[in-house]
Amino acid sequence: MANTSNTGNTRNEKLSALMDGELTRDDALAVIKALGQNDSQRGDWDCYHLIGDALRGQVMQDSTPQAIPQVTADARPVARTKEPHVNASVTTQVAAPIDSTLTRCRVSTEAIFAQLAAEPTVFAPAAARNLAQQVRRAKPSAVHQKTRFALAMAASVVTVSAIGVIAFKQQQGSVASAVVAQQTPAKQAQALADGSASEIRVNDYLLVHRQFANPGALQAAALKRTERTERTERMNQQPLPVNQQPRIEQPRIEQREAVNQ
Amino acid sequence: MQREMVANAFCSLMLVLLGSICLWVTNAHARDRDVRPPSDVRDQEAVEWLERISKAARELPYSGVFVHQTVDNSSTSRVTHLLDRQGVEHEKIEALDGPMHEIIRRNEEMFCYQPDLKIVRVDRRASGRFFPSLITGNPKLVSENYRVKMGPIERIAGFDCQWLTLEPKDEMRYAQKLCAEVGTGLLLRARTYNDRSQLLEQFMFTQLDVNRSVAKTGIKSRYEQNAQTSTWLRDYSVKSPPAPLPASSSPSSPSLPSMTSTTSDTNTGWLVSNLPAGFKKVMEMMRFLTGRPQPVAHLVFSDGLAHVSVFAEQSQLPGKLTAAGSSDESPTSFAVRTVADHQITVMGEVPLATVQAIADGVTRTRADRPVEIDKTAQKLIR
Repeated sequence: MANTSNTGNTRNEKLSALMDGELTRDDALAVIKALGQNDSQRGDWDCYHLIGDALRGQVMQDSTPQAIPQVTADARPVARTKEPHVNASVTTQVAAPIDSTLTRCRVSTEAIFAQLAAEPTVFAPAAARNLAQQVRRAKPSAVHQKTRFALAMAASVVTVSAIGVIAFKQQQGSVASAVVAQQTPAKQAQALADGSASEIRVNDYLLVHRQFANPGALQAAALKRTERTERTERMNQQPLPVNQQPRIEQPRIEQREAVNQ
Repeated sequence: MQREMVANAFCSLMLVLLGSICLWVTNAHARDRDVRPPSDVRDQEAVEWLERISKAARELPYSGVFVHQTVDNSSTSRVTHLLDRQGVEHEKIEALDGPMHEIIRRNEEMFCYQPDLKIVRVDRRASGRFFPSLITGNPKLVSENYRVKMGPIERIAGFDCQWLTLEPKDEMRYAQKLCAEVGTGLLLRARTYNDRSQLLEQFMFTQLDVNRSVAKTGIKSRYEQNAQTSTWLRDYSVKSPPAPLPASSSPSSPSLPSMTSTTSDTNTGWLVSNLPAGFKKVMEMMRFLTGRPQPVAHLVFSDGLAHVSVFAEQSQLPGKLTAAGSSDESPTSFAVRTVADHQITVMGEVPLATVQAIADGVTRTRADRPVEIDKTAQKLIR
């Protein structure tokens, strides 16, 4: 039994590595060939992609997005709670498709969230895989083998939870809600996730750029930066012809005005 | 006649003596403004100071506590530095505020220990501003981009400190004021100002031992032993062959799966044309970042003092995205732009115009190989 599980793990590791583009040409070809011959492996592959897509908010088309939920201002609601339903914006906007995907893939959402609660932000997906290995070592029976890749996506969930904070800000302004609501439901979620994600990305890059040079200032800087970015962006925004205006930026600007009033 | 000559000789001797005493006094206190040499000589002296500052930070043994300040934040760190007999630089930076955090540097290799997260981040020094080694490029290059002028001498942290003013020769960088210890040339204070002379950032030593021998234990992380155990993770942000931890790494410690052969200073497929004057590429690499399906290209440019990072990642956005920002409260400006379906993010401790100019110059030279593999794989399966 233990042997079978080990082989499975190696196989899944290779799949993950392939997805991340980390395999050498020869290894990649071997894994691809195996994929073509093995139905269960192909299922895993699809599954991994679904999870990845869901966490990136890219499978909104099949699901009915719900109203924008209230979000707590906690920067990491997902990571800190053990109850998936308290997961604020993530629950509605992104976690809904995750749930369905995970069900299809027989992965316990709870296991992922529990793991997230126990483990902090992990920067590299590869590092997260490593983390998953430790978890497996610690309690082999508790965590299903297939949660491995899902755990590798844990880092993404943390990013998504940070999006929740910004979604909250947008939610405050009634104008913003109105503008967003005019879009089709699918786009609504997409715009929220993407627009906010670009903010988060600037923060991520700030950490990388500064290279932890002044560590004490960094934690505070990261979240503050988001607010400052929004403000300065508005200050520096040149009036553009309507057709060139960035779609995502617009609701946010109006919302800011609403908040300022 | 003879008496006159003797008197003359005596007078000259006295003058010379007086002169040397004067000079000695000037040198000792360096406060006598009346004997200040002409300005071009002073400017030459100022450029020599830049070289001293750069050399002192690299070669001297020192340990001290410094404060880093921005408009809305300040943090304290302890730095310990030495150059070993093999010519390898060792440095330890400990955060004294907030969560425990240590950075160990061996030349350009960095190990960033975060005990609360139980992570060691392995990186290469590229874009971060590390005090007191702020001058990372050739000092001559710095003096080509900034007018360097001598300022007054002030007492800082118990030392006599020579101020230098670096005025940018164009609008592509911020003004800097550097203050170096008179005896050794080590930076004691550094300030960054925007074009409206608002202070954006400041570093200052509040306590310093310089030129006293530093023990080897002073440059080791206190988490080094713990980090070898299996509960710690190693995060190789840079997609390059893994570097061993400072001590001999034990096989039981978790390390990442083997990296691909992509190394730093690789060709990422991105190019910046029409760089603002004085900026040169200092590093190019692929990085792993949280929540990104693909590694991100990271290029670093510097004018010897300021650093600009260019990040390129496959865009998740349908349309074109542009954004840019800078503020009076932070020295870091940024610009975001879409190029060839990639989101380009440029940021650095430079004015907004500079990050925008660099963002405008970003061009794609080739397609990513990892993307191709991924697509091929998907095609084969379906």
